[in-house]
Amino acid sequence: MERNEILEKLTAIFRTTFNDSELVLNDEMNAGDVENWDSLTNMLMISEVESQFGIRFKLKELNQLKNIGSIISILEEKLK
Amino acid sequence: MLSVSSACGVNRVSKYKIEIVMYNPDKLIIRPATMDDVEFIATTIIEAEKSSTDKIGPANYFELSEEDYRRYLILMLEEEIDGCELSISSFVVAEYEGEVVAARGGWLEGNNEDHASSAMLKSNLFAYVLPKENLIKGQSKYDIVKDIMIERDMDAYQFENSYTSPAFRGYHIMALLDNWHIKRASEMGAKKVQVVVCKGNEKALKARQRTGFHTAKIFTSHHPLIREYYPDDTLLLMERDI
Repeated sequence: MERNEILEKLTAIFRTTFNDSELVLNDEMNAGDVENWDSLTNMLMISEVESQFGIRFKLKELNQLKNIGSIISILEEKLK
Repeated sequence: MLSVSSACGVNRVSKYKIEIVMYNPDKLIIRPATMDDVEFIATTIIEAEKSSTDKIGPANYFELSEEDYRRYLILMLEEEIDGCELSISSFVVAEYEGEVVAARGGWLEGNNEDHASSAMLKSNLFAYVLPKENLIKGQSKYDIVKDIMIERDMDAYQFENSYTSPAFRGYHIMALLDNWHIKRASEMGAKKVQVVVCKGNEKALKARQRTGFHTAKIFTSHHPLIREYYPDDTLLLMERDI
């Protein structure tokens, strides 16, 4: 899957999970930049990403999800 | 076996006889927890979350029985992630004649491989271990609990989760475990210690105040259902300098 496809799909997930239909993602964006992205909503976001992309994160990978860019990079790797 | 504490010793009551054994502090061993202690650590976390009530906040939030919550806690602890309240490496235990009788958790916030907050490490553990259906059940209660989500300061040492077996209370064992953590905090370069206390837990509140803690931040949920799920509607983040 191409990076821009991943970004498009991820954007849809983020807009639904964090209840913001106008949200625009960029690589540097992290939890501090998105309203309601906290430790509780983070769990559901992870679950939705796994479900929508048909993948399962390793715990080590979850702890490396620093920002949108790292999420996309890990997804690119897993979807090869 | 039933153990009942007394003013002068530990009474071990078996089905057939009562054996009174004097507590001997020289027999107490204070040591870092290992994976062999995981069952006691799970008990420590659950009892600490109850905070002298019958409510286990996270279990209620995700609609898990206590038994299931314990099982998932152990799975999370077995991942051996450092730097949060669900890390075996965060715990120190007191062992008496081969039996673990008390435990206390503590860690330096942000001191982990990924410099992540302990809240996110814990979140990732829950996301990794819990079934999706329970995560969704939790999400439906987000508005109830969002205002009591604690923000801890990076590089501050955190105290969390303590428990002493009933038969061994009254011997100041927890003070020894606290001192072990304070020493470790100092060695790690921490300048302050933080601890979360339920506002309604007056005994814990006074104990912390006696040892120099003051309230730094207050987190209150005004949602009418908060006490259906959590032991208190207000959490105090207390701190003191090292």
